Amino acid sequence: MFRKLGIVLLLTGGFAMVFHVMGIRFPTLKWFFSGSEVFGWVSCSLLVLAGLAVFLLAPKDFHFSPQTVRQLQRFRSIKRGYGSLLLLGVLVALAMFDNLVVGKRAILVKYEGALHFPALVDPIPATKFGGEGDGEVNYRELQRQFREAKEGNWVILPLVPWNPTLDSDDEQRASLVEGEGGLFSIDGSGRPYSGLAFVFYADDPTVKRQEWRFRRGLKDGPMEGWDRNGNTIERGTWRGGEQIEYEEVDPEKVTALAAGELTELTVVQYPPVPPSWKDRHYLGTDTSGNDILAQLYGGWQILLQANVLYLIVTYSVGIALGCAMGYFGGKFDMIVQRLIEVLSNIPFLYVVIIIASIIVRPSMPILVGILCIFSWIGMTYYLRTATFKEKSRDYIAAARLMGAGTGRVIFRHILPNTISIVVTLLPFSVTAVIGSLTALDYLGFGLPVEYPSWGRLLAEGADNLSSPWIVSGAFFGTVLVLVLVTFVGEAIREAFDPKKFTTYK
Amino acid sequence: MSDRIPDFRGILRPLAGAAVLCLLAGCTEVEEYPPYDNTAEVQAYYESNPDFFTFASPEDIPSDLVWEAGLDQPEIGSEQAKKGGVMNLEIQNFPPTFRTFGPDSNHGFRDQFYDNIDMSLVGLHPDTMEVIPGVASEWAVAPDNQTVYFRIDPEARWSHGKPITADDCLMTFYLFQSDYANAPFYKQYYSNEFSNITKYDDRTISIRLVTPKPKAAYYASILPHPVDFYREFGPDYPQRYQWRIKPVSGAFLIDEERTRKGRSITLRRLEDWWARDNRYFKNRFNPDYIHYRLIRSSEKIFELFRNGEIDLYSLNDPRFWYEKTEIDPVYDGYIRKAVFYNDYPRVPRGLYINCSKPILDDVNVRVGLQYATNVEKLISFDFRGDYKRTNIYSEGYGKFSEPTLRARPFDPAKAREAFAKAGFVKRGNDGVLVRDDGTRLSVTVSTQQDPLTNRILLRLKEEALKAGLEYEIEALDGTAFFQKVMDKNHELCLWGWGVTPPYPRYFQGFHSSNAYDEGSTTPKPNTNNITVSVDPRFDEFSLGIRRATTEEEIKDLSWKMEHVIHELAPWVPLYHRDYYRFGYWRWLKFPEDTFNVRVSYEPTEAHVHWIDTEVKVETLEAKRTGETFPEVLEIHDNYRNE
Repeated sequence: MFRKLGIVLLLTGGFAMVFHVMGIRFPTLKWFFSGSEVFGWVSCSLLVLAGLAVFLLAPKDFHFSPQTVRQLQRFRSIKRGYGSLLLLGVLVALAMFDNLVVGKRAILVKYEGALHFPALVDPIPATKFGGEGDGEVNYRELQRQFREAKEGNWVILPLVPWNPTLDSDDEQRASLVEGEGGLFSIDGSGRPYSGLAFVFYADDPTVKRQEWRFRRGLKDGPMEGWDRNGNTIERGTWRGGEQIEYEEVDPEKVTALAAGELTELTVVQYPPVPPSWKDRHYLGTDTSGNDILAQLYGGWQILLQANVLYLIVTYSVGIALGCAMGYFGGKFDMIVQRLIEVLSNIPFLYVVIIIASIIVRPSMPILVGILCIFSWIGMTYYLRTATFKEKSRDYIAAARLMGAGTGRVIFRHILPNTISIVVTLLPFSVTAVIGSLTALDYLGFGLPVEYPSWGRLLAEGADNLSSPWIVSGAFFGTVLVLVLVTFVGEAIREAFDPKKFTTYK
Repeated sequence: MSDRIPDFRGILRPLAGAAVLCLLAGCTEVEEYPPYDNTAEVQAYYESNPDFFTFASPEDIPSDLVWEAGLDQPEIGSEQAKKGGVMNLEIQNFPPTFRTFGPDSNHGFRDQFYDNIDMSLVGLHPDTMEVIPGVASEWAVAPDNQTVYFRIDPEARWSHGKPITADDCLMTFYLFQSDYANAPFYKQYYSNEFSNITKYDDRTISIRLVTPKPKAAYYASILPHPVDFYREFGPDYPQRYQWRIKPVSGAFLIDEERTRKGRSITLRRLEDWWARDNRYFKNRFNPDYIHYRLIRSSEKIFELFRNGEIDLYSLNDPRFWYEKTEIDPVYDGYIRKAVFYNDYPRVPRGLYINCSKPILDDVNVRVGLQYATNVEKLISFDFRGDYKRTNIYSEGYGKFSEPTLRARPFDPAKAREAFAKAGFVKRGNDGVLVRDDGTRLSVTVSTQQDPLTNRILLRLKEEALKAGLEYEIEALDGTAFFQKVMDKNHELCLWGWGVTPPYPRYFQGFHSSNAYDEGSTTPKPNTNNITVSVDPRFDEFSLGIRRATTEEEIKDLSWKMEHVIHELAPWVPLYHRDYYRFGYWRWLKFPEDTFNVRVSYEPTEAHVHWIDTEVKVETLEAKRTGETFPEVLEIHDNYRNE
C-alpha cells in the first residue's frame, strides 16, 4: 500500500522533470512548472525524494488493522456515498486530462503527411500549418480550412474546443425562416422572432444591405437599406407585416443591388449566445463570448488545486498544534489557546475581503493561504480534545511505562486513534473551500479575472437572468460537486461511527 | 477644478463598500456637538487677509462698467411642461454624506442632489454656452478680463427663507480656503485661481481672477454658501455636518421627513422658489418630488423599471439597448426608447501609461502599446459598433478639438515593428515578446474591480497577445485603485477624467510641475499628471492655455498639444459615445422640439422633463386592460456632429 504510494510519487516527480526538459507539456504534470522554474524543480525533487523514502522505509507487509478494514467495508456498503466517491473520482480524473479534454489546441494534427501534437507542446506558430504571421494557430479555424480544402489534412480537437478564459468566440449568425402564417422565426426555434434582422452582401457578409425590425414574428417598424459604401438607398416603415410607407432614395441602386447576391434574412447573435451543438458551445457562452462548459471545467481544476493546497496546510498545522496542545498542556496550551481566541474573534470574511482587495493581484496560492490562516483553528479543537482523552487512557500509560518516548507515543499510539476524526472532517473542509472561494469570486474579491471561476460565472449569471444558461450551468456545477462531496462525507461519518446503528440526521 | 475628479459616472461607477461603512458609522453616532460660533473667527480671517477680502462702499464701483443681464438667450425647456407628480428613480449606493464638500463628498450622486440644482452666481446656457444669470441677475466684466462685478438678484433666497447676500459669497472663500474643510483640491483652487473678492454692499461684489480669461464671468462665478448654516463650521466640520442638509438656492431640497437614511432619498420641489418665473428656469424643475430608492443590483433595477416602478433607465449598454429591451412593455408602447446625440466634451477614457516606469519610459514601447491594443474589436464586438474610437485627448470641444489626428489602429505588424525598436524581437514560449536581457513585454493594467472593466480588459488582453504583448490585469477595490494611481505606482491604468465645457485643459494632466518636484526623480503624488509626462512643449502649451486671453489662442495651443500627445503616446485612447440613450415610461415627458439641451451628459440633468399625471393614469389603466400604444423609438440627432 505505502510502497505503491511511493512509486506513484516517484513517477510523478520524475516524469514531470523529464517531460519539462523534453519540452513536452503533459497534462497535470506540467502544473509543477506552470509557476516558476525554481518551484517546479524543488517540488519535483521533493516528490521524488519523498517517494523514494516511502518506498524504501515503509514496511513491506503492511496491513490495515481489522478495524480499519471493517470501516472501509462499511463505507463501501453505503451505496450513495460510495457511488458519489466514484463519480467524484471520475471528475477529478477528467480534470487531470486538462487540455486534452477542454482547450483550444488540437490534440492531433495531420499536416502534409506528418503528425503533430499541439496540445502537448509549446505554442506552434501559424506558419507551420500554412498560415501567416508568428501568432499562434487557431485550430478551430484550421480544422474548417482543412475540411474545405480536402487535401488529406485533418485536425482532432478536444471534446470542448475552447480555453476556459481568454478564448472568446465571435458573434454568431442564424438565419430567419418564414413559417406558418407568415411568421418569421429563427431556424429551428419555432418561436416567432422579435428583434433586428439583417440582409448582408453574400460575397462580403460584414457589409449590411438591409436592416429590418421584427415584432412577434412580423416585420414591424422602420426598415433601412444601404449600398456597399453605407449610403442609405431605401427606407420604409412596416406595421404588423404590412408595408406602411416605403421610399427608394436611390432607385437605380436598389434595383441594381436586388439582382446582386444577397444573404437571406440573418439574425446576428452577440454573446451571451445560447447552448448550441453547431458552434460547439454545449452550455452556451457568457457575455464576453467565452464558453461556459470550458469555464466550469477550468474553475473545477482551480478548485481542485486550491483544495490540495488547503488541505495539506490546514491539516498539518491543525493536527500538529492540536495534538501538541492536548499532549503537552500547561503553558503551551494556554498560549496557543489565547492565540486561537484572538484569531477566531476576527471576522474572517471581512479580513479576506480587505486583504484580497489591498494585496496586489491575490493569486490562488495567496488567497488559499489567507483562508488557511483562519481555518486551522477548527481542526485544533477536535485534535486537542481527542489527544487529551487518549492521553489519559491506560494503554498510553502502559506504553510509557514500557519506556516509549514522546514521539513514539504521539505517532504510534495517539495519532492513529484520532485519525477517524480527521477523515470525517475532510469532506466538509472540501465543501468549505469550494464555498469560500466561490463566494469570494461572486463578491468580486476573489481570484484575478484571468482565472476561470464558478463564483464569477454565478455573479454574471445573476446579472443576466435573461440568459439563463449562464447561471444554470454554474449553479448545477456547484450543486453537483457540493452534493457529491457531502454524500461522501456523510458516508464516511457513518462508516467510522463506533455506534453502528445510528443514522445521520 | 472638476477635471481633477475621475469620471465615476462611467466605468468607475460603483464606489461600493466605503459608502455603506461610512453610513453605518454615521447612524450609530448619537453624539451631541458642543455649540460653536465662528462669526468672530471668520471676521478675523477676513481681516488677516486684506488683499483677498476687501470691504468697500458702493461708490467704489467703477462707473464705466457695462452691465449685462444675459436675457437674450433662448428659453430652456418647453412651455408645455406641467408642474407636479412624483418621479421615481434609483440610486445604487447610498451617498456617504450629505455634505457638499470635505471627505467623501465627491460621490456619484452629488450631481442629482446639489450640482444640477444649486445655483452659482452665473451659469452657462446649456444650448448656446453663453453666460446666463443665476443667483446674480447682472454682471459686468472689467476691461482687464480679470475682475468681474456681480449684482445678486434682490429676490434670491435660500430654501430656508433667508436672502442670499454678498456675505454668503465671501463665506465660500472662507470655507474652501479653510483647513477644517479637509478638501485639498478646493483649497488649492480657491486660493490659487482667485486673487480677490470685494464686497460693495449686501448685493454687490466683485471677484478677481489670477489671470485674465475668456468668459471671465463664468470663471469668476462661485457658488454662495449660507453664512448662518455654516456658523458651526469648525475643526469638527466633517463629522458635525455629515448628515446636515444644506439650504439650497435651487428648486429642489432633500426632504428630511421623507428621506430614510440608507434606503431612499426624496427631493421636494420648493413651491415658492424665488427663481420660478425667471426666464431660464420657469419651464424646468417640474416634478413635485423626485424619489430615489436604493437598489444595488442593476438586474433588479431593470425589473422595477420594466414594471413601471422606476420611470427611466439608462440603456447605454448595448446589451440593454438591443436584447434586454426586447420586451412587451416596449412593444406595447408603454416604455419608449430614445437616443439623444449630445454635444458634451467626451470623457478621455483610455489606458494611461506611467512613463516613469521601466520599459514604458521608451516611446517606442508606448507607440507599440497603441498598435497592440485592439480597441476596434472592443467597439465593434463588445459595444456592437455603437461607441466611437477616441482619437485625441480633448474630444468634443467643438472647434477646440484637433480634427485631423487619428488614433493608431490595432495592427500587430506595426506593433511588432515598434516593439522591435525597443529591443523586443523574440517571442517567448508563451507567445510574449522577450528582450535579449530576458525582460518580458508584460505590463500591468490597474483598474477598479467592476464587471464591465473586467470585460474590457480581458478583451484587450486576449487581443494584445496576438502582438506579443501581455497585459496583466490588476482589479482593485475603488479606494485602493485611486490611491495607487495618485501615488503614481501603476504601470497602466484604465481611467477617464470627468470633463466640463467649454475649454480643454491640459495643465494638470501634462505639465511637468505635476510630474516631478524640482530636482526629484520620484513622481509627485496626488497630482493629475498620472502619465508622469515631461516635455518642454507640454509645459509651454498647457501653461499657455491657462494664461490665454482669447479663444483663438486656446484653440491654437490645444491643437499643438494634441500633436505632441499623439507623438509621445502617453496613453492609449479607448472609446467614447456621442449620445446617451435610455428607456422611459410614456408619462415622463420631454420637450417635443428639442427633447433635451445640447450640452448635457445625462437625460435628467437639465431638468427639462416633467411628469404627466393624466398620462400616467391612462397608461396604468391601459396596462391593466391590455390596451396598447404604438411602439416608439426616438432618435434625436439635431446635435449630431461626428
